[in-house]
Amino acid sequence: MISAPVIREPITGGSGQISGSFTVEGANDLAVLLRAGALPARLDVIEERSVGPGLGKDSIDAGRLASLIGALAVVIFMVLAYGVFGVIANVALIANVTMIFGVLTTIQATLTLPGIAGIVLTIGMAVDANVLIYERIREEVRAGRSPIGAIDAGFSRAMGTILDANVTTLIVALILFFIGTGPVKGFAVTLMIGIFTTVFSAVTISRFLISLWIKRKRVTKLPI
Amino acid sequence: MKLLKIVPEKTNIRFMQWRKVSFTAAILMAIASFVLFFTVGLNFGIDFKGGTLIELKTTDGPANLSQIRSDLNGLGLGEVQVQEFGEPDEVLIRIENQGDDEASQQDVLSKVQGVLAENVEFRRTEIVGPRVSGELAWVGSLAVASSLIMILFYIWFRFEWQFALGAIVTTFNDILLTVALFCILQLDFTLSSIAAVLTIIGYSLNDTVVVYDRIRENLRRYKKMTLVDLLDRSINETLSRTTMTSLTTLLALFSLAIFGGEVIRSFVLAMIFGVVIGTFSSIFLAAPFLILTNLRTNVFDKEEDEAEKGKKTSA
Repeated sequence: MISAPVIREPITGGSGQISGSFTVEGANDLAVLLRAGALPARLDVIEERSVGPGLGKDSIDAGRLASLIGALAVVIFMVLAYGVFGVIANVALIANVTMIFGVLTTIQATLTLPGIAGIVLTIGMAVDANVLIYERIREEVRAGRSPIGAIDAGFSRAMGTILDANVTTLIVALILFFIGTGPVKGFAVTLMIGIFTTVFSAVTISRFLISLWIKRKRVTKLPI
Repeated sequence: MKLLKIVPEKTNIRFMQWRKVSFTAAILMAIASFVLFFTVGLNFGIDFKGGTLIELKTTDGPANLSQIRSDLNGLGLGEVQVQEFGEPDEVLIRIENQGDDEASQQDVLSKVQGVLAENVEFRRTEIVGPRVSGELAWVGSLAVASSLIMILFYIWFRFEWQFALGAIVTTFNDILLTVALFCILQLDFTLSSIAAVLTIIGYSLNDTVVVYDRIRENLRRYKKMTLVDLLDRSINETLSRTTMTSLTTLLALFSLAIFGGEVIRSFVLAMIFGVVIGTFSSIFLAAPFLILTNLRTNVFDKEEDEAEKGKKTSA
């Protein structure tokens, strides 16, 4: 036996996909062997992609560093712009990213570079849900509502917008998932997971923390 | 602590009075994009053209590009591009498609390994045969087209046809401009670029939908206001959110562009561009487009009347 790679999907449409850990040379050898092998059908290798361990590690490291710095920048910016509410948005954001990685680990998704880009984009957009809610709360405060009234109205009014905005993004992600292959599919998976965790964390975690904080501090004027 | 407010609390910018300028600019840029696409053209990567891509790292100091180039040209593989990739000891090699035969495509790599065996680490190889590349191009165009159509229907269902049309025209404009960017900078157009274009679609729509949502709400609330005033009001009310979200997304993207490495740079660059034009187009194109469609300010009254009637009959 030369290699025990994984054939990802059944070979139905006349073409199939093999993936596994090879060296760059090994992958090419396998391609040559497949062509020369004693299989009942003629095999053509129509596409071959391999990434060496050095580059794989370098680019994952770079992706990780970039994600960390990006997340940190967003976190600081949110505190500067929304104060206590920004801190709450950040707690929701951290929970959100943890959930994304949890789901990705559970479904054993391969984390590709576009996948990491998908997560970073989600970080940027995850705060959007919170921004929508907070801006709405600011408007309600300006309109003269009490703190609790403003928060209630802010959440319920922003909800419709958040849903519409995320459903349109979800449509794009779904199409990417069904049509795309390889890296594009990886990107679609992270984007989709990100949309669900974003909506969930914005409406449950943020709301819970804000109401907890309001009860504790008995605020009479919202610092927003 | 004094909170950072990038957009002042109350703004009253008359965005609609610039609509003639913004429409003209949008049309001119769209025409320019078409011209660019058909004259300069996209720099298709191997995903859509077929061919071989090899990334390697020399282990004995900076790579000698001209040596590598002449070694490879000796193999008679047709057009060979050799370029530095990020670091002086990292090299990216592109070799053109070897005709219609899948097998000769595969031989390229072993031939290259034959001449460049010494002091070289092969870090990445991608070989795309002529058949797959055609398929990938088809699938990519299909993805973009079908997502536009699906979204058209979703917005039509949630809003009114005028909004659906406005969202699609705006998004299409954003796609055109992104394609123009790829033409001008001659960035490699690969499968990841399709992912970038689709993400831009998602982001641009996200922005447009938020503005439209507010317009719909205001149409229901201010029945007597003229459409121009109402659109201005809606954009001003959502301006703070639009700016904040674009800024946070850009913060994340710039960090990817600076620290994320060479492989995703063109992908991220396209997205940064898309976020910026997506933000502008939702303000200067999506909203004023509604004026062109003769949107009546009582467009949402009918369903409310029906809802009221429904209440009465059920009560």
